[in-house]
Amino acid sequence: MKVLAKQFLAAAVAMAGAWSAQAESNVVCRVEMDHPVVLSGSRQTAVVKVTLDAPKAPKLNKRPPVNLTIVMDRSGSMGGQKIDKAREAAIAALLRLGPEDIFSLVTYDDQVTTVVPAQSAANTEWIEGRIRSVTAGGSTALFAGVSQGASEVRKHLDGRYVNRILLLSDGLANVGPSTPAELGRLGTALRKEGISVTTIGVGTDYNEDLMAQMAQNSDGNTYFVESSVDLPRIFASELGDVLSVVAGKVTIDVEFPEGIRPLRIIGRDGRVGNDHVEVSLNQLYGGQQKYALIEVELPIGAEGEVRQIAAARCAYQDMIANRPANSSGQAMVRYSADNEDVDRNMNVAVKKEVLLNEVAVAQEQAIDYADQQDYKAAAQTLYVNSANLALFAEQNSLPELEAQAAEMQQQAKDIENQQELNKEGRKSMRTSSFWIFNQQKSERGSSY
Amino acid sequence: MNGGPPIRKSPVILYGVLLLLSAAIIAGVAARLLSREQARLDSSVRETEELRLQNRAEQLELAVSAVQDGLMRSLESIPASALRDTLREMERTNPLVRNVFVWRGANDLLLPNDSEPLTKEEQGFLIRYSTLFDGTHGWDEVVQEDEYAAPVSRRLFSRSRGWNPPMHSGWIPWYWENRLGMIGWMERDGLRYGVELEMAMLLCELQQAMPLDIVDGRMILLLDGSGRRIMQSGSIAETSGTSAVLSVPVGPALPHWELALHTTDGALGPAAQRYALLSGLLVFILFIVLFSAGGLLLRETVRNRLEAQQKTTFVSNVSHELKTPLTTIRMYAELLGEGRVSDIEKRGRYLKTIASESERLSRLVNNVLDFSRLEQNRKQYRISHFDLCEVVSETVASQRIRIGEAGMELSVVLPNVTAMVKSDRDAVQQVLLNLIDNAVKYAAAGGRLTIELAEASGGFRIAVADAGPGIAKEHRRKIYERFYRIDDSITASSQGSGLGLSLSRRLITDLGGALEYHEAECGGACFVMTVPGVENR
Repeated sequence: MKVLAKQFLAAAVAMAGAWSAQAESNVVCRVEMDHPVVLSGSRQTAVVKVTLDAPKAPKLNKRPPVNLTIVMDRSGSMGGQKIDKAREAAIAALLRLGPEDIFSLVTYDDQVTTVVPAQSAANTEWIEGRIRSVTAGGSTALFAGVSQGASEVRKHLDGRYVNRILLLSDGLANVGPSTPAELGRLGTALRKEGISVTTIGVGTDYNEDLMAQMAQNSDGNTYFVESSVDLPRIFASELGDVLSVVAGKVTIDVEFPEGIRPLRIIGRDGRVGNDHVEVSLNQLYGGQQKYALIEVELPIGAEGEVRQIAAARCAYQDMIANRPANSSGQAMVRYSADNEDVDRNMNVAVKKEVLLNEVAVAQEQAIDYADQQDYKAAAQTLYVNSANLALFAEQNSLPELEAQAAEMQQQAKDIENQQELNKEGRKSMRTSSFWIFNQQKSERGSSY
Repeated sequence: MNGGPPIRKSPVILYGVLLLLSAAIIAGVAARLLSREQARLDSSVRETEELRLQNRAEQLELAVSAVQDGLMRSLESIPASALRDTLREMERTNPLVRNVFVWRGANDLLLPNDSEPLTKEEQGFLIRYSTLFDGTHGWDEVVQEDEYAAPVSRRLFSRSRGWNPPMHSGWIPWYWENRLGMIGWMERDGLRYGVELEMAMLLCELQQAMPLDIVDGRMILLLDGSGRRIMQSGSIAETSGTSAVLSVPVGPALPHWELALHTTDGALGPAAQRYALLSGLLVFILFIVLFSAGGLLLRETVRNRLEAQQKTTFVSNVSHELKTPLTTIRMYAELLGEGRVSDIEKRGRYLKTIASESERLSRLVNNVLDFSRLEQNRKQYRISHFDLCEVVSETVASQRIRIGEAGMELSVVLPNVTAMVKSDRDAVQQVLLNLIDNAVKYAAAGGRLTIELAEASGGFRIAVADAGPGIAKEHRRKIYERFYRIDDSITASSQGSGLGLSLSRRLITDLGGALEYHEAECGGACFVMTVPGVENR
């Protein structure tokens, strides 16, 4: 990830068509084109990439206090080592918090218990005792658990805190609303309140669609943990994220001048108007980069003409200074009659992101096909996209993309041979597409 | 018994029947009252529970209306100039708002407008509510989706304090794919605008209105129109197919939703059951007390009457017994006193008779005295070691003449060894005398009397057997009862007080022995008394 960010930064500086935003703002908003130079004399589409670069979280300065709720599944299936590890992980999370922070713990089986009501994390001894008292048994009222977790977070919802729910489950929700769509809506609603839900699926029985959708809609993270041994590490890294949130309630508003029509947002949902596009992201972590890819239709231009394509404005809550802030950027294209000129100036980094997002879309589609038991179509979708990816990787000598293309090809082969998409495969595909769409720190490091 | 005056049975039976009848009636009425009381209690428990559930349902509804009112107020406060932007802002920031719209008439939506590209969410929104926006469904009519009819399409908010919603506003519950949605709208300047409620967020808030104070063994469920569990409070181990004990509709805000109460045993409250059990037990005890008291009373009455009668018979018997020897004695004494009997032999016979009759008298008196002592538990035994052979020979010797006179042939069998026992010598002798007396009295016609002393397990047994008529089976158990005589009439052929066997049996059992009746070989009676040996005492 860091390597990538550096590449982008370098590319941004070198690029002719991109203007950097004002220096005084913390979050840098950059607008780039996949083709800064386009062919003149014809209608065509291009992709605009709006990138937000969050500054590194100040190490020595005060980080924003965290308002953390852990929502822990204690249904029967969590028994044994899983619940042990979950308890351990919760305690590890607690110990990372300081007296400024708020901690609460909600457990649920077929009903919800607030084990630790929202309170200062300074009271470690008592809280630790409470966490250790959690035992497993019962069925899974996931919706109610998250609701209760949200109400604990809401007790300190005054903008001073980074609000986060960590949901830990190994099962399917079976009491209360339990479809991915419904929990996704809950995620959306919670995002509007400034609460993110990070979902951690343990084992191979949980509903990854539900977990991914809730995380995605609320701008949290989603993790797929096959072995409960990994839990403490994930809690720690997730908490690392939480601790370094530098901007919240982030929205991007992109204006397009006359003649340029936005077509769609790749891999994200947002509002696509006639002359503007709105995308909302919840929060940015220190040192993180998030972007939106917007496909636009360009008007016919004359040789040598320079046109402004998009002006982006990013509004956010500065979590360090705790005040609203914004930054902006814009992108231009130059029309050229020379095909080579166009190719030479192609922005490889942007193109790569576009490709990766297309791959993620393809993966989602493959999952849908597989769910309908159309394994041939699923494998076909993956083949086509892995071929595209491989070609691009070869042309631009990007070994990590080649590896990913090979991996995809293998997935396609597996699906074709076994005539099924096994649980683990489905989960890892869903999780990896999630990571691409959300451009968040991946559990698997830089490989996504 | 058959000779005595009959006990008047009919009133006793009448009383018994009356008592039984009244006890049965009391029990019946009590059971009926109890069951009615139980039913009343059950229904009152049910009512209370229903009321409580209703209360909870109202709380839920109130929570819904609070949310709705809040949204309606923000809708009302939107300035007409910034309608679009404010609505958009609401959609973006208000977690309770899922979508917003501005509607001018059938198929004339200003927002979201499908002439410009929409988000996926907005596309879904337009599909869900297409029949509303294209004018198929009137906004004030009952809105239906398949069989799930939403009974209330428009509600006016009269409950909110201090705030009256504008006339042209309302909430429309809307079922789509069995899921409830809700639209709140308001009309201004010919435009209808409003919001779609975020149901997930509403449920999230309702979670707080769900009761937490659930006792063990109970569970309250919030069910939607298609019976799906939306929320659960409390938990019970469920068996498939358990139906709710109680269920109440949540109200018009959430049409077709209901709150259902489940319990582990499918019943309401253990208190009512405990009441039934306890009072049933009380009634049962009352019945038992009445019944047994009545029975006891009846039994005592019958016994008292029987005893009174037996005592009367006893007194007349004893008087008769006393009178006979006395008359004989007096007669012989007078004859001798007048000096008219000159024959020496005759005189000797008279004197012998006087002596034997006195002996009989004293035996009788002894028996009566012993009997009264035994009755009062004042009988004292003088235990000593003695030879049973000696006692038997002594007694037989004293009675030999009498037996001979009665025309009975006597045979005595004694063991070769001494039969040492530890007992009350007089009592043993008395018992033996009584047995011989009985034999002489009742079995003289048999002409034979056998007295046999033999060693038995743990002591010695003396069998006194005659060749008389024996004792019929039906009397065998009763002969040991005091005052009991087989022929109870004063005019009976043999005299007796009805004390002998009863007394003998008590004496011999008190001394650790036993007195039993056996049938003799020739059909006569054979009484066997056992006396424990020395080593056994």
